[in-house]
Amino acid sequence: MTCDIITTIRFNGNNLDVETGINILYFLRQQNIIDGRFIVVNNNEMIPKSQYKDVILSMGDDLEIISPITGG
Amino acid sequence: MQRSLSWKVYGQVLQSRLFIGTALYSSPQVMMDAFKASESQVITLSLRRQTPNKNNNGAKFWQLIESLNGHLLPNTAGCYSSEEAVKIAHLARDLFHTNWIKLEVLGDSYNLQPDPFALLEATKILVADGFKIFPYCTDDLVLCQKLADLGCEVLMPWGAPIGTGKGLINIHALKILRERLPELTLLIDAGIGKPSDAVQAMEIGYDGVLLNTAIAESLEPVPMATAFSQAINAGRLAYESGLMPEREHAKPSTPLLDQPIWQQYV
Repeated sequence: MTCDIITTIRFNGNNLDVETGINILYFLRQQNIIDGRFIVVNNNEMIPKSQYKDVILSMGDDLEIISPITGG
Repeated sequence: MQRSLSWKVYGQVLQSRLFIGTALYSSPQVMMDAFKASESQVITLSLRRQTPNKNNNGAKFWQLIESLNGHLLPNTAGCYSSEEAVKIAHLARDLFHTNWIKLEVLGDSYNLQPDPFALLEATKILVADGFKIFPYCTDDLVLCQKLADLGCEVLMPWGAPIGTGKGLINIHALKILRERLPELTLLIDAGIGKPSDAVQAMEIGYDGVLLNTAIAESLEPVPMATAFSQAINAGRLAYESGLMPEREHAKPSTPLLDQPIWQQYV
């Protein structure tokens, strides 16, 4: 029997175990991602801020946090 | 009469013709000070997978960029296919809230040469998606004409490969571009090493220069930024003033008519 307490997602290219059933807003707070300029991309689709609460992370999701960096 | 410094890029009025990058500086403060000294109004930057929390500099970098109050020109650096570049461009638009994109699609990892075929593919898609493209391209006339045909109002041919500081290695091709594409905004992007390179670009009629390494990797980036700012103004003023024609043979500048003892040396 599989354990349904943990869900494994890809987060910025690495596997990460998270609690099953959490939404993106909860995940961001857990990761201390609160301030600053960033966008959230899940499975190659940008998630608008207004939908952070509505998107529940699922097994195998590919979640990316994209931030500004220096560039030439 | 006061000379107007204003010009337009994709409808945006600018005073400075120098675009500078934010990479490779020894510290964020040096980057800030160099940007201010350059009097540039356009900042290039990029994006990566990174969490902007208090344990890294991601959030701080953004605060600094915002405080500069410049126009943002995000790039698609590191992309080797049109698909990647299109994806990064869309993320950049969402992240930076601008439809300006410095479109880089590389074809060779050794000299970071643009891939002209993938660049055209990506440009076609992004123009249709409403982007204002600043394509990093080679100095090939046919490529540049095709980019213009797709809707690019701005072209950014390289002076030399990125980070080499070799200056304008094919000035003949760059002059041809200027002559054949008089309606386009042409910026030299990449390869500028010295302020005199920037002067040369401006003297042949280029509208501006985008650079990063030449300032960031100088010993003193802040005064070097001033040097580039002044070089670009000098080159532009020279272009607008009309350079004298080059001659093969000497021509005296002092009038010879009625010179005393003239006959003595004839």
